[in-house]
Amino acid sequence: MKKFIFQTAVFLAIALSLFVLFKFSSDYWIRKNATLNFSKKADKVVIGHSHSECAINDSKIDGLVNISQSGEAYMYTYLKTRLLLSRNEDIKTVFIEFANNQVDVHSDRKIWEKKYVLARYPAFGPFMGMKENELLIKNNFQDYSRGFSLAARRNFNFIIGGDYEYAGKMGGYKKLTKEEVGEELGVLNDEKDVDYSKNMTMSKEGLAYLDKTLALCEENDVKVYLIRSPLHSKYPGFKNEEFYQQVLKSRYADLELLDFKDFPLEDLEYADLQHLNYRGAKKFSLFFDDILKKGLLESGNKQDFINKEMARISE
Amino acid sequence: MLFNSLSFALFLPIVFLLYWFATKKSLKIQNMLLLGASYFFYASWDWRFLFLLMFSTLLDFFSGIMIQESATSAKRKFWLWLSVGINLGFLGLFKYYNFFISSFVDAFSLLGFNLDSWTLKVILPIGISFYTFHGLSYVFDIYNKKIKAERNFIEYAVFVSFFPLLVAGPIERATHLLPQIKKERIFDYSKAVDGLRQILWGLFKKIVIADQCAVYANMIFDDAGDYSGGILIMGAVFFAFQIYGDFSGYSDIALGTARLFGIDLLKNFAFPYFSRDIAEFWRRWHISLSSWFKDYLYIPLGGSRGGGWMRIRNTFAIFLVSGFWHGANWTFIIWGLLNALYIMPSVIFKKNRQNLDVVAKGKELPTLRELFAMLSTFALTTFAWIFFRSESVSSALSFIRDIFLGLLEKASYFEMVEFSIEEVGFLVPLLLAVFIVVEWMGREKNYAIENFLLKNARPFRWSFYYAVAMLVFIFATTEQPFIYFQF
Repeated sequence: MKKFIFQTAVFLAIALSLFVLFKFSSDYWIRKNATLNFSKKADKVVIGHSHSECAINDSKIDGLVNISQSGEAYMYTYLKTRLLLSRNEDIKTVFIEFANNQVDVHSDRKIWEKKYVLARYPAFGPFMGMKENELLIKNNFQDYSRGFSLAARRNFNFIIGGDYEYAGKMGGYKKLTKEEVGEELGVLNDEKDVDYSKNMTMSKEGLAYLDKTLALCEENDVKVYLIRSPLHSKYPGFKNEEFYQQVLKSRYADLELLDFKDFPLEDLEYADLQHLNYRGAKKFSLFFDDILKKGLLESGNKQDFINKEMARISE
Repeated sequence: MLFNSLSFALFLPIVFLLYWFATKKSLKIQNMLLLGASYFFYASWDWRFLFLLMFSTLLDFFSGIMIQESATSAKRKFWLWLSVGINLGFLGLFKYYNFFISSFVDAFSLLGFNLDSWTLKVILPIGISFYTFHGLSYVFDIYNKKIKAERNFIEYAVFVSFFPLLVAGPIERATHLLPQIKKERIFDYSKAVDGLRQILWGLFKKIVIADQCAVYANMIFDDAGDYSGGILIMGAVFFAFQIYGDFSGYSDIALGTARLFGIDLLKNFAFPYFSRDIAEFWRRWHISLSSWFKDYLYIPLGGSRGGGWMRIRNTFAIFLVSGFWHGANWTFIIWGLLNALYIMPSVIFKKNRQNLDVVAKGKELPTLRELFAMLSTFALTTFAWIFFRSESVSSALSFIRDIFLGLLEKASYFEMVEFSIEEVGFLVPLLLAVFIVVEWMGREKNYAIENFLLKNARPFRWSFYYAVAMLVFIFATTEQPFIYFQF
């Protein structure tokens, strides 16, 4: 009996070690060979979650690439930025989405909740350090282990297929065709479990990774702007606007926020209360391209510049 | 708690260690532990249905005693039919109620009467078809005086609920399993190692073969209208491997797990895709169910004793009931009927007892004739699987129609090649090829790797086990449920 248990334990330990070894060596191989060649020449990039993913149609904007991805927490933004800056020297400006649903502690769950881990870990696993692995293990070991297998499988496929190009795997503009503002009005969206009546707590892990991203950009002489994509005036996330402004002023006072939340759009140009559909995205992207060409980034007070331009087009 | 889940990976060693170490080898405590573990295992899906399982167990336990104790034939019959009626009543309610109601309403609407449909939102208790059949075989055997009624409730309850077989079989017989439950069990090293080997192979079949084939089978069956004939054939072939890997993989894990506890379960699969005719296929596929129907339906109906027409009638009966056992859908009934039609020539001409031995026994390769026979049988079963997999009869028929139409178009063949290269790639076909080769090499054993490479040097053999384990880890990305859980 003891022999059986011992042999089984040794077999499992060796098999698991081999598996972990395969995973980390394949991570290393991918990290070493990963490339990032955008389909167009760009010196500006937008990174964020679904708000910027659906709002910025980069085919309408010269020199800009949108690599936002739905539900992206700042930890993944950091990993993405690190990969981006290590592989692409052309990038001089990074726009990072900074929205109402990214500042409170609830947003940290998007780092380790099941659906995010299973989607993100396989993609970003090769670029994660010990700290990121620890964070996932500590908060959701079960799904981390599933993600680990998924990542090993994905690495296996990439290596077998010789596919190391990450440009198409990091996100991009997402075209939404729906028009559901009418249906959504009066119905709570995914912030429903956030209790705004209580004092809000600032995101710990998420904002810590935003800080790391900012530091990384600074080290690489890359200019960073925070950006808030257009949102419907009835967007429930605005309930924490006071808290949002507080976080912004206390933590990111030296950064410039390009706030497009009041960008003039019709209901039919929204997919829902927090995402633009393809019509809204087209309108906003053309506007963004226009103000970039008019010298937004060189102007003194950028928000004034934006507000004036928004007022002009809404006339 | 699926066999391919992390929770089962924790549950199994805990129960194993408690079973062999904490019970002081007391049979009574071991059985109580097995029962507790089995109920915990079952409750992890839905604790509410545990009461149904307990009720069914109690019912058959007392019915068995009453059948044995009854002085008159009428009383014996009464207790038998009470047990059968209630068991089938529950099965009918949970599994077939909506099917009968909607079929009844549809039939009347064809005659011009519109009836209100009283369908219920019934959740199917997992494993109900399996444990109901366990219980029924027990009362039938007592009624037929093949066994004596069990007086120890715990031992009987372990027979019904033993967790490796509880939710998807094999469908055990009291004559086979109960004596093992009643007998003192001593740890047997070689049996336990063999059990682990079978579990490893079962996991490989499920996770590496079935779940990977499922990706393409689902892709093709779910959007069948978008694909041409050649690709639809690929979908059916992928499903054939999916269902074999899934169900026989489950059975391997169940048998291997039971062996860790010193218990041998009935063999459920014997390399069915190497069959040379349909009769052989049905002696090798889901053996515990086929033999159940043979013993408790085919033979009581007269079996093959009453002449040609009776054989035909009885064969149709068991295939129809077998189809219906799988689910409340006309697709399963047609699948059963098709198989009955396939087997009919050999029944009529009394050729259904050919090919009793394994194909190419003692040889490395089959003859051309054997190969052709195997491929033809595989083609027929794969064709029948189309009904089994389809959502409805009409979608199965359009699937089949598109296959035949596609075969007439040159473009369909190009699309098939394109699909193979761009969507499927070479990895899954390579794994399938390795799988078929290993299964072929082990076809004379209880499961493919029972003696695989045992004659080779240990490092070589262990490298193979590590390679299988690595593939299992790499492909174990999500816990896909087993197909037969729905039955």
